[in-house]
Amino acid sequence: MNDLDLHKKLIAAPSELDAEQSEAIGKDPKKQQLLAEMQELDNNLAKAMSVDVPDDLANKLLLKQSFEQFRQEQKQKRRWSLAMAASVIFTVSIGLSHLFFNPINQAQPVSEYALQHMFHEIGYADKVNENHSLAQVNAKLATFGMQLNQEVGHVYYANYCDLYGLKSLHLVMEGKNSKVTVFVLPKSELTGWQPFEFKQYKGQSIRYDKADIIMIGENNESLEKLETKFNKNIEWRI
Amino acid sequence: MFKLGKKNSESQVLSDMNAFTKQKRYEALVQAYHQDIYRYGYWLTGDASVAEDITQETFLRAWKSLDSLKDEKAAKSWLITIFRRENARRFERKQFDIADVDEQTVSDDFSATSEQQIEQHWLHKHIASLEAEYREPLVLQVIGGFTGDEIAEILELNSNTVMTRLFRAKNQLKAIMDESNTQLRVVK
Repeated sequence: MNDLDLHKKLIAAPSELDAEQSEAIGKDPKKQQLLAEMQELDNNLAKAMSVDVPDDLANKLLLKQSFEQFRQEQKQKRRWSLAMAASVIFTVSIGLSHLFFNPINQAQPVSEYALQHMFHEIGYADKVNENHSLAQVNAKLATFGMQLNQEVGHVYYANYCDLYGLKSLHLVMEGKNSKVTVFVLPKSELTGWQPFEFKQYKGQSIRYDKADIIMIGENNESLEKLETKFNKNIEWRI
Repeated sequence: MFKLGKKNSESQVLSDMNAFTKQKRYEALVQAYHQDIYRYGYWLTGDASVAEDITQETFLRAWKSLDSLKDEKAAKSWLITIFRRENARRFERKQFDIADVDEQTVSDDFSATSEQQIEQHWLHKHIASLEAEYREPLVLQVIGGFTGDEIAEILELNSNTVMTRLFRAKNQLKAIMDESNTQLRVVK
């Protein structure tokens, strides 16, 4: 290695010098000085680059993965039960199969989809505070023919989103103990509205005549209370 | 029938064990590398929330293809490669210019007190304003702890090219730091 190469390596990668190179540097005070400076620069760079990592990032990564796993298992179960149903139907009578075969069974339950959507948007939807007024929220709820007579809780986030290809409203609201994610959906043929739980989250839905609502909060949240508030305050427009 | 049942329960146990091992491997991966991957992403994208988003995509994809990671020692460079691919996808999707993101969005909300903090702040700003082709190998070296050869492999570049880029990046930063130190001394 010639002097120029050594100089280059000393600056580019001072921690990768081999024994021979270190020896050559040991004999040259100027190079020693430069090495010390470059090591100091590397230390400073390491400090400057160690930006803060979001506290809950590791938990989010684990949560997302376990939900993905749960979703895959559900999918497999559904595939299996569908195969079973198909085989039973086949045995009984091929001609009758259309009576038993309900395509909606194939679809993901709405609760699962809502959870998935919430996890997807975790990271910004649960962090922002857009501080929506009742009028702003009502302007968005008008799409579903509903309005709220008074605030049912502080609204941090309110935006339209796509659930199952349905134009829905994604709200993040203040609950009693934590933030609650609320989806407002137009009426549809979707299934799977029963209450559900996943890890530290739980959810339940309210099915009105003209729209459906799904609420997802943490386990210690009183979704019943929020449901009562909705029931009391929603007014339907014809 | 009985034999069949036994075999089934054995395969169930095996599959449960595999799932358990996979879960443990994934958790270990998250704990060991999420900080490095996020920080690498922060400097690559210049945006904290984009970095978080892509870190999430990266780990989800890593979990899905965890079976393809044979050597645990290669895990970090494997994750970096996934991150780079996810980041590239972002540009395919959004088609906006890298230069727009680079310098403007790296947060500049630092209020320095000590001389050392001022220096750190300076460095932060100047690392962010390095050209991406210089910044990326530098981040891989400093945050990732990779050698020049390893960086060359990750970035699919020649080792000499990587060394040259590291050399230029550090020379630039050193010149800037030296200048700022001189200015500080003059002020005093």
